[in-house]
This record gives sequence, C-alpha cells and structure tokens, in this order.
Amino acid sequence: MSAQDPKKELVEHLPAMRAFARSLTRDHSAADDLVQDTVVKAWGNMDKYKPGTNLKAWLFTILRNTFYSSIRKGKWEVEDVDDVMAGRLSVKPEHDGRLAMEEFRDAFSTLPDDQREALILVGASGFSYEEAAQMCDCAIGTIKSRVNRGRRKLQELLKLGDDEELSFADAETLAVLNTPGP
Amino acid sequence: MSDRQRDNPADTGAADTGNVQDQIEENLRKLYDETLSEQLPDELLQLLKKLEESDTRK
Repeated sequence: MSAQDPKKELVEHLPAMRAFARSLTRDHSAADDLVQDTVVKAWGNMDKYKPGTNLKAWLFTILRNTFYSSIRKGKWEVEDVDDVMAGRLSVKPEHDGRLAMEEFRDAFSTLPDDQREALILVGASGFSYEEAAQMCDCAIGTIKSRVNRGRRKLQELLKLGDDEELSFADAETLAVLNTPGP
Repeated sequence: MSDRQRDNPADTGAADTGNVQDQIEENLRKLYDETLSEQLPDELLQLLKKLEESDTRK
C-alpha cells in the first residue's frame, strides 16, 4: 500500500487548521489569511516533510510559527481583549446558572496566547502533551502547566464554583425543554 | 454520612471539580468543532487549485 500524497492529505487538515488559526487570531478573517499563508509555506516545503510522520502536527507547527512571526512583524494587530471582555464578563449570567456558548467563547478569548493554544492543542485537537510540547518548542511540563492555568482561568472568568454546571442550550432549546409534555 | 453516600463520587469536592473541568473540555471541543463543520472558503479552494496547477506545469 502506498503512502498518501501529503499534498492531498493536507486538504483533509484544512478545517482543523482553520479552527486552530481562529483560536490563535481570535478573528475569522485573520485566521483564513493565516491558513492561506501556512498552506503556501507547507506546499513549497513539502520536501522537508518526513512521510509517515504526523502531517497534521507538522502543519500546525508551521501555522503557529507563521502566526508568531506575523505578530512580531506587526502584520496583525492583537486586540487587547482583556478590556473589551472584562465588562462583558463582569456579571455572572443570571439565566439559571447556565452559561451560553457566547460567554464561554468570550472567556476563552481573554486567555493569554500560550494558554489558548495549549488548551486547543491538547483539549480539542487531540494532540498528546508530548506532541503539543514539540509543536510549541517547550517542555512537556510547560504545556501541562499552561493547560492547567488555562482551565483554572476559564473557571475563574466564568465565575464557576466547583459544583456548578456549564450548559450551552440556547434559549429556544431551553424553551422546548421547559415546555410541559402532553 | 453513610458509606454509600461517601462512595458516591458526586458527594466529593474532587468529583465536582472534575465535573466542571470535564465540561470545560467538552466546550472547548464544541468551540473547535464549530469551525470543522464549516465549508472551506472559496479563496482557500482557489489557492489550492493554483498551487496544484503550478505543480502540473513543472
């Protein structure tokens, strides 16, 4: 069985690359620009990719490096979300202790870059701590620490006690759930 | 507290913390999965087409 052409396989990873890019840039348009830049770089350097290794991790590493390089060059302005979000998160939501997805998204956006990327890589993208550490060029312990700090910070921002529940049911769903049956 | 109550993970603070953290993980995945289910933008598809065409010409 022959190995899949990495250029064809790259296409399969585009949705995940967009999701990672959004978590880094916090902006849909900037995320798509970042993915395009990453695709061009990856395509031109495909001879450097070692077949049989983790292509998704390789692509994510290029994307991450491109992001930080662009920040350094001032290509994108990083919005100071702390001030913007602080007001929005200052009051605990009152809808029966339940939190909307929008509130979770806002809280996530306020996390520092390193915590956001660690949470997405390990918590959502399915990478191991070791793979995430390699991608971020740091020790495994550093990634674990970033993940833990990110989780605690989210809990703090969402003003969640240890016994409270997160729920992402929207108003319409809740209305249906609360309607008495026949 | 009875043995039965003590054995119930829901009665422990540690389990509660785990519950909140599990939910945070779940919501992270939801946030991530939202993008996965979207259609790719035309600009990206056009870029891929251009790259493939440029490979063919080589």
